[in-house]
Amino acid sequence: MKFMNKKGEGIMQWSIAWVFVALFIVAIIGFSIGFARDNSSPVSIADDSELMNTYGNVTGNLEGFQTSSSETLNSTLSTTISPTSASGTTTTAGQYSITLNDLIGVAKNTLRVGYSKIFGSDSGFGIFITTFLSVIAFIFGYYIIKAWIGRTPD
Amino acid sequence: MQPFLYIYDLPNSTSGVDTIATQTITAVPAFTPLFLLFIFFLVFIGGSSRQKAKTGTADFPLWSVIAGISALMIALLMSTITGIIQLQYLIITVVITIFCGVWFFLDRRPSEV
Repeated sequence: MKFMNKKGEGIMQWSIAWVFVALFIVAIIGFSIGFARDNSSPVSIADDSELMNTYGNVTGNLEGFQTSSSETLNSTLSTTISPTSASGTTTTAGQYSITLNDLIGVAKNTLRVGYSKIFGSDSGFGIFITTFLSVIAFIFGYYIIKAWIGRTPD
Repeated sequence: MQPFLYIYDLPNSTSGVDTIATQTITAVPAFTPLFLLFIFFLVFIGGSSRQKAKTGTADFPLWSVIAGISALMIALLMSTITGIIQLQYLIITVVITIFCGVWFFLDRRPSEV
């Protein structure tokens, strides 16, 4: 991932990329379903339960991202500083990092459907998806630390 | 004079082009995936090589997405007639398009997208 080591790039670029991936998946599958319905196609991807599960799961991930983003934004906007506090520190604040949980779900659902549809559900290739998801969780984890503590884990 | 003897069964050409396609694909089931593969690589290699010749660099992820969507459009049109494409080929086309999109969006730099 060449964008990770460049100046000004990081958690926002990575997160937005996965949000766009989720929107792309919803758009492609949604268009295919609508095309088959409008034209009364005898072959429709709506007949495949696994792809429809992925469609529902990714849509759920996007809704979860939207909900948690709104909640953390409201939490951040309502941050207050007590005038009577000696230290003058904030009394409430929200962390944006928690919204990444849904984006990990997007990556997981995307890889799972690709793995099962291209390599098959009973293949011994499962170590690939397991390792790749671990790497993605590792990257997200370090970016959360970076956003929270302010250190650069790269 | 004897009529020409074919070594294969000719498709019925009196009931429309779609019947010819259906009977051809019934005889050769690999026609559909290979045709979609041809569409994909035609757009992918053609577009990227033309861009490289014109600008000096080729945006391979972008052309893979365009090629995937092109193949998907053809596959969706084929899905409107019974017997042209099987469900598994349509699903694999959708999944490959999705993974081209994953490659595309993870490859973008901040000045793009």
